[in-house]
Amino acid sequence: MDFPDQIKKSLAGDLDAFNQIVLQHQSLVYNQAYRIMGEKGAAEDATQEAFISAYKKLHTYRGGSFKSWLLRIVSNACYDEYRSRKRKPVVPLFPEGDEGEDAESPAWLEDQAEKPEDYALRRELSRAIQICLDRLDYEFRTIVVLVDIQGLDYQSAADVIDCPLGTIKSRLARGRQNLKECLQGFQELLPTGMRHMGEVNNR
Amino acid sequence: MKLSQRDWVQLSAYLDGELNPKEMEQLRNRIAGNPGLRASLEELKTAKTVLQSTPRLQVPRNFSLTPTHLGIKKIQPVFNGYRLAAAMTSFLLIGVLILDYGSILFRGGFAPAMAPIAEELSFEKAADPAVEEIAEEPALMVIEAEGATGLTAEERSVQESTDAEAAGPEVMVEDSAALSQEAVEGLQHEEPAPPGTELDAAEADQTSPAFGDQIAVDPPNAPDELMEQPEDGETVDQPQTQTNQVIPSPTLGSDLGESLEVTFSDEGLYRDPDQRQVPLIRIVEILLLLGAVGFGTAAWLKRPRFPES
Repeated sequence: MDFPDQIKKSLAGDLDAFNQIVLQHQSLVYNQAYRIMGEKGAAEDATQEAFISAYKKLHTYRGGSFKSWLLRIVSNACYDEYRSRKRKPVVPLFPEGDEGEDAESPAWLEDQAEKPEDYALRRELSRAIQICLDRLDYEFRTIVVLVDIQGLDYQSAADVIDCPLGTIKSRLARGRQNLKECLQGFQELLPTGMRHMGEVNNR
Repeated sequence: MKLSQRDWVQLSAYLDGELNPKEMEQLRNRIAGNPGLRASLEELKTAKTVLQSTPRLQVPRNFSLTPTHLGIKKIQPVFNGYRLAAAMTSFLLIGVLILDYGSILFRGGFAPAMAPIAEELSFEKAADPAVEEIAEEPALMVIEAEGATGLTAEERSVQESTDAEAAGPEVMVEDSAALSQEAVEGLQHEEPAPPGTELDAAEADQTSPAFGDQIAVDPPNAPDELMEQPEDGETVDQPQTQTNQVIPSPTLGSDLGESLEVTFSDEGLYRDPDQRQVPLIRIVEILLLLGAVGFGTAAWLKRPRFPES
């Protein structure tokens, strides 16, 4: 069943067809949610809500980039979840790492291909990125994740968060500027070619 | 050299190729002559590269939707098949019982409902053994003979009521003689009589009942006394097969032709209709009762049970 058929059957109420779409896009949606929310539980909740909302609003999809349409829905879901958790902070029942993994069963233990030290370095870098993202304001963070992590162009990002191109440009520049300054504190985690970030201006 | 916010925006857009050609050319010239801009552009490029290298996380679980997620509750059947069948058979049984006994109660029971017919039947059945009893009332028999009729109890009561002004049956006969010819003709029944029951015109004239009278045709086993014929001596060889009862109209005399006429057929006279319907309706009632009990038991046995905790 190709994608148009999945959309058509989902519109007709075929939940199995829609779940095939879910399986194809849940990694994209969850990563977007996690990078915005910075917490596993919140990202899961936002992802689930995003797919529920997508199923209910599927009739509003008029063709074009389904990825952009889905990212817009998950961005809205994340914003709702963000506001909800801001009012009522949630403490996870089980301890989890910075990557949102359960501390007792880290995923790297199951990865046989990557060396533990390489995985640890990569994991530390990912953690540093997430720390810097979390320090950004919500509006800047969303734009940075959409453009630099999800790879959207400015127009698509503007469509996702429903704001003009100029706002995208300014927010992205501000976000990158703040992120750059934050990452300078994690020089040892950066790849070798990137470890001199900020040295030019410091001279 | 500190960059302005506009420089950062231009550098960021330049990095992504989102400037128009003119802006792109102007910024390229500025970067070439400004080491601070070039260094800031490199930092932004590094930051972007780091972000693009962000490892993609594995989804912790499957986010496939279920009907529960969508608020679609599976409707639990309130009635399973057995319950529905038990309920339907019960309602049918109640309905049949209401029809059965309700109709009997509405008619006031078997005996009153069948009173006229029953009396005639008893009259007929008691013809042979009760000849003596009937013969004990010769005056009445004569009156009946004059009218060529056999009076039933109800007819007698009607007659008695109409005779409230008259002293007796003889007066009634006189009254009938006093009726106009039109009224008498109005009482004549044009219904085709069964074979053997034809009366000639003279007989009809003489036997045409006055208002309130009836034409009671003799049953097959009627005694000879009851078969006493009018004065002209004509006899009815074969028994009548129908009885015509003339019920008086409130407007006496002028509306004689509109008198209500009730005709009983042979079957209606000689058979009790309930004797035919009762067995059938009883069978239906028993079947429905068995069905209701059976389906109810099955529904109870198949009832959902909560797991013991």
